[in-house]
Amino acid sequence: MASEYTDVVAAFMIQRLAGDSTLSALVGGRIYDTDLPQADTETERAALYPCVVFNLQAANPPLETIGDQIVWVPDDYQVMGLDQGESFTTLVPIAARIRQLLRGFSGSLASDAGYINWCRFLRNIKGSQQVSVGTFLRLGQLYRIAARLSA
Amino acid sequence: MAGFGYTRVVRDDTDAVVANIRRRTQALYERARDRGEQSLQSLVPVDTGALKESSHAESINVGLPRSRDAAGRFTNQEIGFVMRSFGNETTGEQYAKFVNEGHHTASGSWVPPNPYFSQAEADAKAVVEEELPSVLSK
Repeated sequence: MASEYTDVVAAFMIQRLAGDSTLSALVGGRIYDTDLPQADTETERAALYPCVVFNLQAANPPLETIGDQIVWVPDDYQVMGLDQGESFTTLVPIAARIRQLLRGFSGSLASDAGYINWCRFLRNIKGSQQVSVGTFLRLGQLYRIAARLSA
Repeated sequence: MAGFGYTRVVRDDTDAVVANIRRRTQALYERARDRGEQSLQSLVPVDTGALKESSHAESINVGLPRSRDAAGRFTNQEIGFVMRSFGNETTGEQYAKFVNEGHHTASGSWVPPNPYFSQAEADAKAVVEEELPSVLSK
């Protein structure tokens, strides 16, 4: 049984996203929880992108029963593909695959890592940022995910 | 055959009921606004202080009628609020969204999100979602 709700969601992301051969092929298995490896040189950036990153974006009140028992914790998670360059072409199939894998999921996680009661799509994420070394793009979704420590 | 007459007078209290709901709803939105402001100010990261200075939850007038003036026109009350965060309003640099959702530095390295705004927004929404049913059912 899991001991921490954000760990349940992290396990959910890794199992669903990294465990999918289609998405793994699109991003070379580069799926990260919150932070990315340091990439300050062009060589490092070429090896890092495209990739997928997810993070806790907002914590919401838990659903509780009488006696303060937590039924589930429905937090918001940002999940997106990141790439460098000027075109979203590479990111479109990545974001589409993320949606196919996450939206509407419900069920137990492997290795007794917890239980996802529901995973609800909230809204799209799309943006670009220009910095000295070039342009970075993001494309993905925001989800509300109800996690339980066990089934 | 003579019958029994019976008359019941039912007074229309609609105005009083609506005014009461408006008053309680306004109070609810003020509590949500205060919670949003409190969360923003406690969660916003501080370096120069400019981002914190630009981050607030403020009441807005969305035009719901409260009462009539002498000419019979509706006057308005403040019943909504807006949450905003900019960056540095003195220099015009908008970076609140980048801080909230993650960004790349000039050298290209990734800075993870510090979702102070998303959390404050969720906190304010939670007040409305939790209390609105009781406000409307009283």
